[in-house]
Amino acid sequence: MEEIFNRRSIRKFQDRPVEKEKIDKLLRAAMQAPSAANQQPWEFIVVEDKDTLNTLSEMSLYSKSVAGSGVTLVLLANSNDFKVSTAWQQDLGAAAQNILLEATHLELGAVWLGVATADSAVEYIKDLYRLPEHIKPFALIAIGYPDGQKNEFVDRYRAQKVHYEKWQ
Amino acid sequence: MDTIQNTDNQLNDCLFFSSCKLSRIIGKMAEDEFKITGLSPSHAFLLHIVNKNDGIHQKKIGELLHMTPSTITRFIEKLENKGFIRRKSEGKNVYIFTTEKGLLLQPDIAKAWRNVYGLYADILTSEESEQFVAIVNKLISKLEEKNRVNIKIQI
Repeated sequence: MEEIFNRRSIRKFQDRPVEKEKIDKLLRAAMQAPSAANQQPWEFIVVEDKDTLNTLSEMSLYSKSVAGSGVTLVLLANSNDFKVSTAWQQDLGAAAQNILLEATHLELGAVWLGVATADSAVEYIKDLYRLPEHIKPFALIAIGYPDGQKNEFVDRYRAQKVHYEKWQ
Repeated sequence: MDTIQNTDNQLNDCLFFSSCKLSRIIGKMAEDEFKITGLSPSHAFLLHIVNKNDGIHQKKIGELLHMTPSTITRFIEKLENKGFIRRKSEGKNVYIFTTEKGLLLQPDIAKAWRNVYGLYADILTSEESEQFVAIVNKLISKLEEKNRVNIKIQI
């Protein structure tokens, strides 16, 4: 599957909106992800408004790329849906990867920005959207048409990472 | 994925930050424990030194407590006003003596001190505790050396 091999983090986007149909495809791809006990704990906020994108881009030192994106998806988990509460970050991770791969397939570029990785980022998103306690911010995915950068293969295979049958 | 770490994790790698934080936390707890003496931990330490070294030179107390002469003078005046110690000047030299009232407070000071020890005794093993104090003391003496050199250069 070429998308897996070509996908790279794209952080610079053309000033061009992402078509509604493509956004719809991205969301559908996200929700096809596997989840623990099929709990599907995800929720998504679709952000295209320039002012909100600018505000979101100030979440952390590394979220500047959001400002120039055509659309940014805010990935959240709804703890009311939890059946396996310890698995939500893994479920959302799988959904995030599906979005990134589908974006590549649709000739878009995207970058995954961690939110659940830092308390300050979690608080920022909670405050911005006045999220209730049962809604947990996970990540932002900034998406758009790549400007300069492109999705192309770089070999990340490391033979020493693979262990056959036993650890050593 | 692009991400930041929790600020906590970044800051906790910093000796300066961690030691300031520890100083604030343990300082606050020590203040609470020393309330039984009616004195702040610093005043209590000073009184303890005098109680154990009757007639000690004021300058020596400053060295032991890492305080400037003006601070020591202020502390001593306060303790003298409360009748816990007595001052005797001989020319430029000032010597500090115990009083009955000051000596009566010694058991409470010892008790407060033990209580402070009790706060962290079950967190660190006695070996860890010793190592920690040794490392901190090494840092203090080396930093003081550097500081003295810097002061000399400035002069």
